[in-house]
Amino acid sequence: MKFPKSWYFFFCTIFFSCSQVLDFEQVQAYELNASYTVPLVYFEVALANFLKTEQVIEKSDVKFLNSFFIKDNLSKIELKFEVINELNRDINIQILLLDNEDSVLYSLETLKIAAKNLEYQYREVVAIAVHQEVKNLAGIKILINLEGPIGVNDISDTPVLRFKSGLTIHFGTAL
Amino acid sequence: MKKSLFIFTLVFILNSNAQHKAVLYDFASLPQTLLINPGAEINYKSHFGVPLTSGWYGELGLSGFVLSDLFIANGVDINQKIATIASGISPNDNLKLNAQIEVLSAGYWRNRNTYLSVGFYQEFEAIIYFPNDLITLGIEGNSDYLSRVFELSQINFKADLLGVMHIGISKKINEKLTIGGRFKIYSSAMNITSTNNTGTFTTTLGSNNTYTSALAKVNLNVKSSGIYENDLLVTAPAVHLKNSFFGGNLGAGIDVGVTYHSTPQLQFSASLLDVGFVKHAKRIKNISATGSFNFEGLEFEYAAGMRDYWKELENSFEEQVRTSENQKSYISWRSAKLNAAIKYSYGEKRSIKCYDNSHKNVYKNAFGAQLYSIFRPLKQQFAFTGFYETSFSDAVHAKITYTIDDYSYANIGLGAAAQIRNINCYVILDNITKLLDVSKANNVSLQLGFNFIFN
Repeated sequence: MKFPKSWYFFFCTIFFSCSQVLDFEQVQAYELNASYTVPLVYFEVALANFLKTEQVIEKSDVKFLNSFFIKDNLSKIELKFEVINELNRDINIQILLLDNEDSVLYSLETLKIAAKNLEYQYREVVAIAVHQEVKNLAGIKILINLEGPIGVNDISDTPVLRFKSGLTIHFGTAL
Repeated sequence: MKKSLFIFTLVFILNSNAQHKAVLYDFASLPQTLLINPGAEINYKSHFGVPLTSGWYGELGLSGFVLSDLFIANGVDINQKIATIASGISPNDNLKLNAQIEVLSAGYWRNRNTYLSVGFYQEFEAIIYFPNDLITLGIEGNSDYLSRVFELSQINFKADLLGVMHIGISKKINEKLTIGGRFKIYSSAMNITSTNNTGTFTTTLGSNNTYTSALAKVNLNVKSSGIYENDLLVTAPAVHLKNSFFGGNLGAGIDVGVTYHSTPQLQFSASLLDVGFVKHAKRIKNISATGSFNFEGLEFEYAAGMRDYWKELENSFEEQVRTSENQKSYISWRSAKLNAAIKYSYGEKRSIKCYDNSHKNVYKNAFGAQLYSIFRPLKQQFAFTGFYETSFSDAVHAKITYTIDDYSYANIGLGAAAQIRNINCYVILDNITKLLDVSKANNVSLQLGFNFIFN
C-alpha cells in the first residue's frame, strides 16, 4: 500500500513541533508587591476618663502579622492616624508596638495634638529592613496624656477625643 | 523548583497529549466515534481496541493568556508580565483539562441491525475559572483598591477523576436512520467541586475608624470525595486508580445519538453525552463558610479596664462567619456535552463491503459543519467547526477542521486514519498552526490509537 504524504506530514509535525525559548526560571525573580490595608484601633475618650489620672493606657493583641509567610515577605508597615481633639486641653498620645510578651518592639513618634485641633493626621512608615524586630508585632499599647490637671467642673459629656487608625502591610520580597 | 516542575508538566501536556474531538467526530467510522455519537454508522463486523492504546485523548485549554505571555525570554520583567496578565483576564477565563485513556474497547454486530459495543475508560476532567478579583487581591492587595468590591462568587472550579464502564447499542432503523444509546457506570476516584459561591470583600473609608473591612453575604463551599481518607490526604496514585474501579462513589449516565441521511449525500447527526451523575458517599470532606462580618477595628474603651479585644474580635468573627466541615454524601453532575453536525458528501463514488456482506456506495469527499457544546459550572461553552473530509483509498482517510471556540478563533485540526489488514490506526492533531510555537497556543493537541477491525 502506498503510504500517503499526509502521514509524513503528521509525524514530522509531531516530532518537530516546538516552542519559542521559554525561561521558566524567571519565576524566581517574581516579587510580591501587594499591600493590604486594615482598620486598626479606634476610640473616644472624654475628660471624665482623666478625672483621677493624667494618663490613661489601653492595649490589645494585634495578630495581623502572625504568619510565617507574612513575616518572611514583609517589607514595611505603615500606620495612619486621625485624631479629632474636641477637648480644650493639649493631648499627647504615645503608641507602642509590642511583641507577644508585651515587650516594646518599636515606639512611634509621640502624637502631640493641640486643644481643639479637629484635623490632626499622622503617618509613620516602619521599614522592616531597618527594624527587623517589628516582624514580631503581636500587640499595641496606646497611652494618652492630658496636659494639665482637670477638676470636676471641667467635665462635660460633650467634647471628646476621637482617635482612628489604620494599618497597611506592604510585601516586597522576591519569592 | 516546584513551580518549574509544574510549568514543565503543563507544557508537556500541551505538547503531547492535548487534542480536540471535533476532528474525531464522525471520522472514518473509527470505533472511538461511537463514544462521541452512539448513533454513528458502523460498516465493519466487529472491533477490538488494543488495550490501553486504542484511545488516548487529552485536551488542554487556556483562555485569557498563553504561556509565552508569561515565560518568553524577551527582557520584560516577570512582575510586569504577571500584572499585565492579571489585568487582562476575566472571571470567564479558565484553565480546562480533559484526558481519557481507553482501557478496553470492543464491539460486534449482535444481529443485522444492532451493533453492541462495550468498554472501560478512565477520565480526568477539570476546569478552573480564574477569579480575577481574588487574583488582584492576592498579587496587589486592597490598598490601591479601596471601595472596590472583590467578588468571592468568582471562585468556581471542578475536577473529576473517574473510571467509566459502558455498554452501547447502535441500532440501524433503516438505510436512512441509525440511532444509538450508551449506558455508563461511573466510579469516581476523586472529585472536588466549588460552585455557586457568593459573597464580597470590600475595604472602604470608615466613619468610626479610618477604614472598614467587610465580608458580606459570604456563602463559600468546597465539596470533595476521594481526596481525604480519615483526614489524611490521599497522595498515592495507586489508591486513586483502585478507587476508579468501583471504589464506592458510583454514578450512572447515558449517551444518546442519531445519524440521519435525508439524501444519500446529505447527513445530519447529533449526540448528547454524559447526562448523568455520581453520588459521592465515601471519603467525603465538605467545607463551608457562611455569614457577614464588618470590621471597623479594635474599639478601645479606656474606662472598661483590661479587655481581651483580639479574642473578642476572633469570637465575633467565628460567630458571624460560620465555618463547618462535614462528611455528608453529595451528588455531582457530569458535564453534559452536545454534538450536532451536517455533512454533505460528493465526488467519486466508491463501493465498500459492509458487515452483512452487502455493498454500500460512499463518496470520496465530504464537507460540513459541527457544533459542540459542554455544560460548565459557570456557563455553557460552545465550539463551531467547519470541516472537509476525503478518502485516499478504502483504507486511508483524512479530515481537516477549522474551529472557533472560547480558546481560539482559528483552530485548524488534521486527522488521518488508515487500516492495514485488520489493524486500524489514527492520528489527530489539533491547532496545527500553533505547533511551530506551542507556547503561543491556547489549545494544542495530539491523539492517536490502535484498533483491530474485522470485516
